[in-house]
Amino acid sequence: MRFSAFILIGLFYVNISFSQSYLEEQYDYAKNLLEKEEYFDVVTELKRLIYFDTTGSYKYAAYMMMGTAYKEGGKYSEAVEAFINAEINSGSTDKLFSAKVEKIKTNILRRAINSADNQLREIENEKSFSNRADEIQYWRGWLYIFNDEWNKASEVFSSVDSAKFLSNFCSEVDKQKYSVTFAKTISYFIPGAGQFYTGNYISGAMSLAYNLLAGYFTVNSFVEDRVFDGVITANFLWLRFYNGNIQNAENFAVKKNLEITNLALEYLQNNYEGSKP
Amino acid sequence: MRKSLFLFSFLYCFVFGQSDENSNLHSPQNIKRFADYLMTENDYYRASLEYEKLLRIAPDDTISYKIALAKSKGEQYGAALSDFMSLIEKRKIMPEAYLQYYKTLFMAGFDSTLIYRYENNFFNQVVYDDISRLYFLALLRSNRLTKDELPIPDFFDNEQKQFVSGFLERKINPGYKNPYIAALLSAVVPGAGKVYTGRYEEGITALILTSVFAYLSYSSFEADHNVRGWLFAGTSFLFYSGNIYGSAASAQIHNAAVNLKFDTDFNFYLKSNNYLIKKEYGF
Repeated sequence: MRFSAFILIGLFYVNISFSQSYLEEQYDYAKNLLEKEEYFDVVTELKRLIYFDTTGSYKYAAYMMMGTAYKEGGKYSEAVEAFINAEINSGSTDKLFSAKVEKIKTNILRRAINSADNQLREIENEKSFSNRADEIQYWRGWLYIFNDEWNKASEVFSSVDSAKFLSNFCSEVDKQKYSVTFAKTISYFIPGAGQFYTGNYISGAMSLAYNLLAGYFTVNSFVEDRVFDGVITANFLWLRFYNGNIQNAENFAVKKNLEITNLALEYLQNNYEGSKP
Repeated sequence: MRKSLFLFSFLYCFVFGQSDENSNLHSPQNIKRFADYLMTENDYYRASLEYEKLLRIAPDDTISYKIALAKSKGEQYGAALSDFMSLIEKRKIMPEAYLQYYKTLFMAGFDSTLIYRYENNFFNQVVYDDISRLYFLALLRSNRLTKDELPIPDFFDNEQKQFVSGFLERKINPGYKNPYIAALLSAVVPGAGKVYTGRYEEGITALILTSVFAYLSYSSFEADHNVRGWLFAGTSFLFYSGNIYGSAASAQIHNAAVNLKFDTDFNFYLKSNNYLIKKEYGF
């Protein structure tokens, strides 16, 4: 009788293992699809896995992979939702941390800066993650990069041993960037100077010439006692050019900065080997 | 002992057999279960793909119906209509397909087709009331009803009648503003057209600006400052003509807002009440 009971338990065990192997197969199938970048099918197969995984043993891994597939496919909201589900099914501190970090990375990538910032604060204040301070700082640095605060990013990366390269890189980018306020301010005093500062010499020269000409017309009108003409010329001509020159200087500085940061991000995307959002 | 072993073997085969079926995630039965689950999760596109997979394994009208339904719910209206029509043509007595065909037409906004089909007796008696309601609502939405249609027909229940008569009233008396009247009013008194369309502040501002510049122009000409006079006259004319155009545009914007409000309320009411359909296929 004891022998029979032993056989029965053995058969049950074999049976459970057999059904587990189907789930594993399904998981591997989804993984294979992910490698082939067939993201829609990855999500379908993972949904199937989650639906049939009554024991919940694959839920965490499946939701993590689903989040990755959504993220790679540019569906960031769905990716965040999947990572939240992974958090719910994590079951251990390490897994929970990984799910939270993936969620934060997705938020950084979709430039949901406030959400990512709040989530970073949340894990910073969580005692169970106190030994992951470096990692948290690392992602805070990336948050600043995506929020176009390269100086802050450099500062944050400098406190992380493994991110010295990023610290220097961000510092360099910050140095290359033009000061929008400076470009505007010098254009207040010398029309066209902001354009010269950002390297747009022809535009700067034209701005200066227009302002000199309109200024001459205005002053001349007042000198010849044509007060009304002077007011009209000053209002509709000179001030227009003067104001346009300041706006122009600002636009050039913003545009140049955008070019610089885009180049920097492109470099990081293609050449940086470390972890990225 | 033998009996016990036999019993164990039987139990094992039973459990193993069940488990095998459950474990093969791509078996027809599991594909169907998974597709039904996707429908309840509102993942209609994936559900339709799963049903199509199943249809290739074992052709079945119910599965074809579910494919069409998934497409309809997933807002692939053209494909859904074509699928429902194939089902209707194949099995002339499939009331659900008729109902969903009409619902899809309504959701897609194909009111003319819906009305034409209904008026040519293309329906099934089992779902007559549901289809008739959709027909009446399509008439209402496409401005084909008049006051004569009141009271509302009896295929609507009392609560529905109350809502539908409210919408009908709004269709019959929408409170539109005539752009020509608005323009004419502004031509006579600057800003009056804006006041007519309910934009009081803009109307008063237009009146003040046009008057001030007209006065400045008049006083400039009086003082023999002709250039200044023409400048102010031009500015005043710009405000005057701009206001006429703006009043007509304002009336059109008002009318568009009325239509938008009606459509939003109407669609919200119908969507939240499942297009007044009493009973639908469940998953």
